[in-house]
Amino acid sequence: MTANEATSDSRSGIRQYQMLCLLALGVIFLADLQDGVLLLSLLVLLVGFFGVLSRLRLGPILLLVLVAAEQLARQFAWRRLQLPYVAPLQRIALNDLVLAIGVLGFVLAHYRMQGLMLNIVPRDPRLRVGPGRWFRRPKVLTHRRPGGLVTPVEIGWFILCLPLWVLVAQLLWAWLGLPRVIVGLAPGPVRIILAAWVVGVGILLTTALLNLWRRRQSHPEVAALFLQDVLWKETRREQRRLNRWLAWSRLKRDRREEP
Amino acid sequence: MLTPRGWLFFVAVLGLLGLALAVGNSLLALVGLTLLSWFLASWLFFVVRLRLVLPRLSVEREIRDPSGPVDSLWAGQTFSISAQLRSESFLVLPYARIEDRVPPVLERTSGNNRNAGPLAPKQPLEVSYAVSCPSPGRIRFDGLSVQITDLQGFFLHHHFVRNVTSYRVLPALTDARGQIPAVKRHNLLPLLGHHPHRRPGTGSELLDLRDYLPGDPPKTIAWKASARRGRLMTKEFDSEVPIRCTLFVDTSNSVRIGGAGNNALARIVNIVAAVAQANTAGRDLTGLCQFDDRQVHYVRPGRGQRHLIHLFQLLADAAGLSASAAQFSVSSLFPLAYGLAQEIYPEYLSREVNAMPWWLAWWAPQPAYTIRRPPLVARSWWAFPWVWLRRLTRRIYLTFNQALFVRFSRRHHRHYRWRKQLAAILSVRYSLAPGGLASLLEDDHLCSQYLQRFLNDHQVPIPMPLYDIHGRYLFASPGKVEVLTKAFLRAVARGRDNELFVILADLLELGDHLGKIMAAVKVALARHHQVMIVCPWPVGIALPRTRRQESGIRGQESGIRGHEPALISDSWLLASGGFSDSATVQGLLQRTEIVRFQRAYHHLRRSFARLRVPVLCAKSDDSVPLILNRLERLRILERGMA
Repeated sequence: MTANEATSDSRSGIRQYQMLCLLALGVIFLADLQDGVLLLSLLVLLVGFFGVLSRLRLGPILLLVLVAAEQLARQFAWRRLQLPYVAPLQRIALNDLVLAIGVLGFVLAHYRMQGLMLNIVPRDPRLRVGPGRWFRRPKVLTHRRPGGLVTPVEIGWFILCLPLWVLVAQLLWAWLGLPRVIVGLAPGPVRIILAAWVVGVGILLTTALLNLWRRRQSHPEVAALFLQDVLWKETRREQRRLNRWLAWSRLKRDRREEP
Repeated sequence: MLTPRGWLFFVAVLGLLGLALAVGNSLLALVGLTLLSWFLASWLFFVVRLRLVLPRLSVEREIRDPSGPVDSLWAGQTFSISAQLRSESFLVLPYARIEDRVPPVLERTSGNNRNAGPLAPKQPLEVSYAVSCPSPGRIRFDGLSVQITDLQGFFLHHHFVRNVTSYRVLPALTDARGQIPAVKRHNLLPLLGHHPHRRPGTGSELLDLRDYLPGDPPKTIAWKASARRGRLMTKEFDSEVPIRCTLFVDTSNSVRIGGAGNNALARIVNIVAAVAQANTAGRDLTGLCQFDDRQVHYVRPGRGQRHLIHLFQLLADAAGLSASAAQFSVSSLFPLAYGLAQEIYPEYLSREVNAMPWWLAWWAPQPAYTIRRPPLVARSWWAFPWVWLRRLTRRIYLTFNQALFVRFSRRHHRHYRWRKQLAAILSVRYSLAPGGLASLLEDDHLCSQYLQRFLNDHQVPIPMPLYDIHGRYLFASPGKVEVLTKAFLRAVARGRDNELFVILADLLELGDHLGKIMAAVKVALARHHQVMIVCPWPVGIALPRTRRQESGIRGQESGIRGHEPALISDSWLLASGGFSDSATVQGLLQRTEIVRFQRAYHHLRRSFARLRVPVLCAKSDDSVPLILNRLERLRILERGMA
């Protein structure tokens, strides 16, 4: 493969994800426009567009912040100003599902694009390329995913999986969104507490199980290291005292033997 | 596991979800839950995939030369190395990045030692690159470093697929010509050789004519001489016999300085290999004696290709040795060793198996009484109170420093953490457990020894200090003189007839300990053996002057320095590239070092010149033919051919 072909492959991979980002932005804009404010929707569209074109690392986070701000503004308008064209809360419409698909699609496509254009693994400040000039240190080595590795199968799975996660989220919301009053707390705080417990305990349990699995797979030397560490933790103070005396006596002996 | 990008996204999503739940916005909650469920599921799938795939990863490595796969390499040649990372799991890793650690001895000439892409059962990842081996030694490949990540860059896992393979880099097969035939006066060796011996034999040179005796082969009849004399005469030819040469190779710490492949030992090995090869070409016998401060390994003189390859293997093993110093600061080794451990043993540094309490460096820092302090010795009686005061001041300072100040030092905390984690790894690797961890944590000397061993095992070059605080050379290894003397006398005792003994050793800084070896050399000379000494010259130091240069400069400087022999002049050092600038401290130190080596060399040469034993200086750009030429010239001169 020539250098030109490799470059064109790389660009085609980036272009595919750029197109997906723009497509997701379009979906967000259209879904938002159905029952939103045109100016806010346009702002979201423009910021997302800027994030795609400028390779902004914080592009997805910025879009999430803007979407959240727009929704909060709408909520504020519905509650305080009683505007008739704003949809009521607690009801998930098809537009909302489409919007969630668009947001998820944009975020994932943008991050994958960052892997192709900026770096896929975190940069290691110890690894630098090229000579430094004057007071500038050499550039940190970045590793990008080659664009030629993007395949149509990958894009296909990417698009197909988007609705799945929205459905999962809808099911979760159907359980979490039920108005509950526990110990005299309002439904809002109860939802937060429930979500925190579910997420926290779930992560803890899963991590514990995965760690157990990893220990079962560990190399004998790693297992010995673990046992040694346990022993050291238990007898750290005694071992420290003994070995410091030993080190002191060795130094004293060396001093005597020195010419 | 989570990258900074992943953490940021996770926190942002949690914040979004919390905000949505707090204000009761269903759309935001739906978006938050969508992102969170996708993120957690991706994380779970990533970890499960790792657990299933990692145990089924393997590395296949192959080294080839133009004629096919090889098991050992030759110095000075180029080889292609390919390493494949294979997975036998049914799952696919979406993106893996592999890197092969090129041993420092090798030089990568083309290709890339990194590759990246998806890893599937029928789609291995491969790195392929070409290397050249500039010097003999041993090379070690530990395996492949693997970074596994998802396509978004949220999760990252470092892994090292271990597959330790070691190869010998044999000394180069130089184009050294065979020995020049020299007359040998005495011979007890029954083997056929290349050197004429003035005894009747089956050689090709005419030795004498004598009367024909019944039984002489008719082809040896000298017909012209028979016709002149009127009776049958027979031609007698001389014998062709071999010469035995024993090479004494210094493998002590003093010649290992500079890293494997880039030190005096590598140059010695190159010279020995070339001499052995030339001897083999001339049907001479070559013996090898490797010695250091403690032990000696002796190979009887022999010849033939098999013997030569055996010698090459021994030399390659010797060339791969690295130096280690008893007095080496531990703190200067930590960054190297920790970096190596991060690269090769990432799972050994996990907090689950190798934890370090953050408060320990604050709570129990290393006390002053376990820190080695260079001794302060009073050189005269009136200096004693001053030295005693200095000792006291230093002790008070160290005690206060260790008890108070280091508790708040970030560097100390970092080094303490590194030390604990490295001590745990070393303790397990070198079977010091269960008490090894605490010993290495408290004893600087022990920790330094094992860290050097760890780095040397993985062929990481260590910058070594050459002198201690009192200016004493740390690598003089006086113990090797006794070992060398014993081995030399043993070889002399077993010598059959006049042999050649070549000592390739660093004897520069052993001025006061040379008596024993000189006595042994006298014994050899008394038995009519020939001895010569080849002294490896340190890298980066100007060569000693030749006799002509010395006499010229002595003539110029005699008015200034009186009768003291002129050793070094600044202009000569600058011209020869010996040091860059004497105005800086670095330049001054370098100059002092050069002067020291030059003086040591001149002292050594003078000492052995009394015995008529030549001392040669071997530098990296000294060609092996030059050494061989000197060897030959020595033989010819000593046997009256010149």
